[in-house]
Amino acid sequence: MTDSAARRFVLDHFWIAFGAFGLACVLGVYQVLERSGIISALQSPAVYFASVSTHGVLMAFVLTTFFIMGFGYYVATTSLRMPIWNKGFAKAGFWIALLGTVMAAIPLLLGKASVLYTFYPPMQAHVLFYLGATLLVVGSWFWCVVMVVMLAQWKTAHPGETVPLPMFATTANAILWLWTSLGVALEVLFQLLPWAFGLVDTVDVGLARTLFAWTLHPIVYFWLLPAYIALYVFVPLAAGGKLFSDELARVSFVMIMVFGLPIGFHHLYADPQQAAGWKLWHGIGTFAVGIPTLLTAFTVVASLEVAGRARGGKGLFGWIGALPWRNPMVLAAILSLLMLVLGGFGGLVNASYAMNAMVHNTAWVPGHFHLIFAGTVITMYFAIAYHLWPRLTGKRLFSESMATLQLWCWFIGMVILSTPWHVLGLLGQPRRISSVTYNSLLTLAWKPYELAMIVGGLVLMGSAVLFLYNLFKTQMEGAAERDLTVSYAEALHPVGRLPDVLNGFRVWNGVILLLMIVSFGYPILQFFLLQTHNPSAWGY
Amino acid sequence: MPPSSRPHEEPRDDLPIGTWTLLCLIAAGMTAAWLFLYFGVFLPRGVVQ
Amino acid sequence: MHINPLEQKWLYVSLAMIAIFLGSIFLTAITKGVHPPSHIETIDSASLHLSGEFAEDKLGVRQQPDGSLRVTLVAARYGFYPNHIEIPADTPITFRMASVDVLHGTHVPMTNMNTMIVPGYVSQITTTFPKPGDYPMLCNEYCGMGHDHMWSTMTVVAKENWHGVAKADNLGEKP
Repeated sequence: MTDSAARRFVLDHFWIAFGAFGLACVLGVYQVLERSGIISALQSPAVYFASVSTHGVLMAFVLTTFFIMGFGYYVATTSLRMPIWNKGFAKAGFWIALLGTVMAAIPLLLGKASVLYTFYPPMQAHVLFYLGATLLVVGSWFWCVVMVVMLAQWKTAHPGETVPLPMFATTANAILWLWTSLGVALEVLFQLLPWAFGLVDTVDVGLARTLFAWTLHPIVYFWLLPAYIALYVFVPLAAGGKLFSDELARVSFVMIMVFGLPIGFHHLYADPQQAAGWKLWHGIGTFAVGIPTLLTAFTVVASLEVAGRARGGKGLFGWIGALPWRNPMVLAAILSLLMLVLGGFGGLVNASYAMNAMVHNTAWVPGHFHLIFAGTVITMYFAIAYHLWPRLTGKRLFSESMATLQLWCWFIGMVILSTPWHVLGLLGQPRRISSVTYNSLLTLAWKPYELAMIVGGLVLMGSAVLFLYNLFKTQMEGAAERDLTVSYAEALHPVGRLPDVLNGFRVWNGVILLLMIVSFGYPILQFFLLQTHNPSAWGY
Repeated sequence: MPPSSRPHEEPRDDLPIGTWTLLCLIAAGMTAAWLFLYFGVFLPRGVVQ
Repeated sequence: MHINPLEQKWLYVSLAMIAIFLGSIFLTAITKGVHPPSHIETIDSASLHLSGEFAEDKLGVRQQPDGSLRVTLVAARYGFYPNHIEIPADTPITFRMASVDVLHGTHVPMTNMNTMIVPGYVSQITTTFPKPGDYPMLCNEYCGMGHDHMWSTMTVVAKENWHGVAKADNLGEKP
């Protein structure tokens, strides 16, 4: 990427993302301390729930969206060798998203939007919160359009050619996000905003939860896909090898798009307003979307095996030790995959229809999503940052050994934080409580796990500081790096001509539309046929 | 720049047997753990509908 | 399209693993009726106290005409009412619950009594409690600043010691 303005544009996105991350980490440490109850001066539901709301919005919406947009612009320009399409349009998207973020941050930090990052009605936040969230999403849609247009323009200029894998996957993610965000957009535009502005008095909570559930599952794939992109196109090369299968990578990305969307009801298994038949249908789809992850695991690990054997690894598992563990991209992949095994298993449990009763709304749930998101996904975001910072700033990475230390600390901290969290869930501890005040014997068993989690939180905070420090020092003081080029992994078996279904998305958009109509059509329509009695707004 | 030569060929073609073995072990573990949780923890807590 | 033979075998292994999970789920759904609570029924949360079923004097544990036991509860910030109930072990108990205000959830730890309570809808869940003992019933969905304190108690009495309970006088109410 030779255009320095474009590089700065990507960096702007990354600094917003990681700035939000840093602040949210501090809030996280406060929360794990407050919840344990060991420092009585900290106890305050009002502060705690404002913190959790802010932490959730920053980590789940701000860190992710800005990182994904920045990474997408980088991949599009470097893999397609084109400038950003319509820079003014792209910049407008960035500024709208940033404005929305600031707009939502104000009520959040003032405790006027303590409705958590899921903002379920009928508890109502300050209207500025809903407006800000809307603008953040709308800003991201500008990015989606740029990605889709750039791919279309490239294909017109290169008829019949194979779309580079990094851009195929990035565009898949952009299209996925458009479909995904439509659910919450409908909820906010037609229900929450009119209600928050006082134009309507009541809101159908069942419909709101259904529309939010539409978004709530595939949004995790929006977050996950950039991590998978790095696993496919950076990691094999960093390990000294090639990508085991380019075609199957495309198959996995398509399957995640198609099966990741029509399955949101596993978030509503315990809800009264959807029928069991629909829940079972969504449950089947949820298991189906496990397949592309299982395939990704094989393709990526096989790529590592090929690289490890080329480095001299012998026997069944010798190639593991032979990999370059000191390379941050490779180390990140290994740690990320380890957490994917554990977090993925938790996901299988959550998907399992009635077994959800064992874990629904218990501490297991935040344990799960910290492991899989803060663990598997964010670890790869760190690796991407370390890989791209020199190429974006023209400065060599300040310290590679600090990067590997940081990644190890993040992994260790995440295991110490999330393991007790899962156990607490199985022991029945509810989620979203700020303290344990139940005068019940069974809660005595919870204390040691809460104390262990504090250790995890502190280790993670240290790791976050190392991460930000390393990037900051790179940008401010790093030695000059003249080679700004980026290379993407080559395929082990060169790809010939691909069928259209692995080179474009027209067919898949049709399939998605069909599946969404089947999976959400009647379940949403029913709210207009049922006689509902909608509640009005409540404070907290 | 990383080496771009073809990887050293294993005697048995390009079959990633380490990956296959590792993932099969993981799949077996996950299946056992899931069955334990479903039939050994969840259902004994009481049939639900 | 080229697929490595071992990767293809892995795909079959993955499908088989998922077939085991889905198979178990379908088997228990068909043979034992194991489902998540999914009873779609609307109600006006703002006038619960006026509705026949959730009037204060109808709450609690009652025996239905068909012999089954039903627990009728109201969820309100910050407790479940009535805030102490007694039920027999090893007996299917049907809970019917409604919220007077915001979203709540209810969970009895170490059991499968776990369901959302959505204002505007009646939640219905049927489960059995194998182990006698004293249990808390905890709210597990954020419902405001007092969420930490939202809980009630439940005693599960061994079946042989069960003392029976009043019959429901609301014949003709929805099942």
